Amino acid sequence: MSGGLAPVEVGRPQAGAIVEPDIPWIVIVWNDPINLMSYVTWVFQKLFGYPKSKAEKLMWDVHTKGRAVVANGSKEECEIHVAALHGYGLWATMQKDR
Amino acid sequence: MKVARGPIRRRRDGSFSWNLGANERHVLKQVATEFREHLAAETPSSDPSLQRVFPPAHPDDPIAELEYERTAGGSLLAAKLEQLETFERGIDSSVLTENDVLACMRAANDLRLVLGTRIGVTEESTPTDFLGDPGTASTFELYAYLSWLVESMIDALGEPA
Repeated sequence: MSGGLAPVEVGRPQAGAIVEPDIPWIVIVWNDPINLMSYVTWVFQKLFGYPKSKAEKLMWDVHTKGRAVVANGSKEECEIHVAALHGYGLWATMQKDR
Repeated sequence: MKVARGPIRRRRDGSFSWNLGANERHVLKQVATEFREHLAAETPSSDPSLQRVFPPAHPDDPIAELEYERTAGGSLLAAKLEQLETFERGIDSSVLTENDVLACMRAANDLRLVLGTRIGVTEESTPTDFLGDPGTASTFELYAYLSWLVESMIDALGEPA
């Protein structure tokens, strides 16, 4: 009868495994003909705590350029931002910043 | 030109007064009920107006999108139903809390997204664009009324805390 402890199996990294580098993500808000400019500005202030001047600039970028990057961070942080923007009815998407 | 003041105002105690006429209450209840039924009967994949209310987070990555829908989708639908309920309840109230106004504003904006997508409004749309069809004309009228209501709520809320 063996009184020794069972050896612990240690996982070895797979030679071919790709470790995803820590690439930041960005949150994009797209222009749409329905959301009011005042509403979009207000939502940017409310959700991101931006001063009115920054929120208005981002709103104008959305309006005139068709889109604006409104936030960035980890994938999880960006998903929280996108869900919050969707909660307010803004047309938001996210992608890797590359 | 004197612009008509909105139906909602902040009071000294931090609550909001909300004065709607009988006809406004009737119309808002009707459109809110229709939206609730629509949310129960349709999905974003079967209805373009709901696609606009629930846009994809990852339009170019179906697998990431499935994951987003699984994690955030359910709570987003629940939040939208809850704010719609607050809106429906609020229609008959004359005093609202700040959280009520926030929920009502989001619900009213969702209604605008659905109606506006349904009739295909653009940034240049005017009432005359929709005169050809009585149904579309009245939808645009309701859409414009909801726009005014949302503006009124933004004014009443003031700068976000």
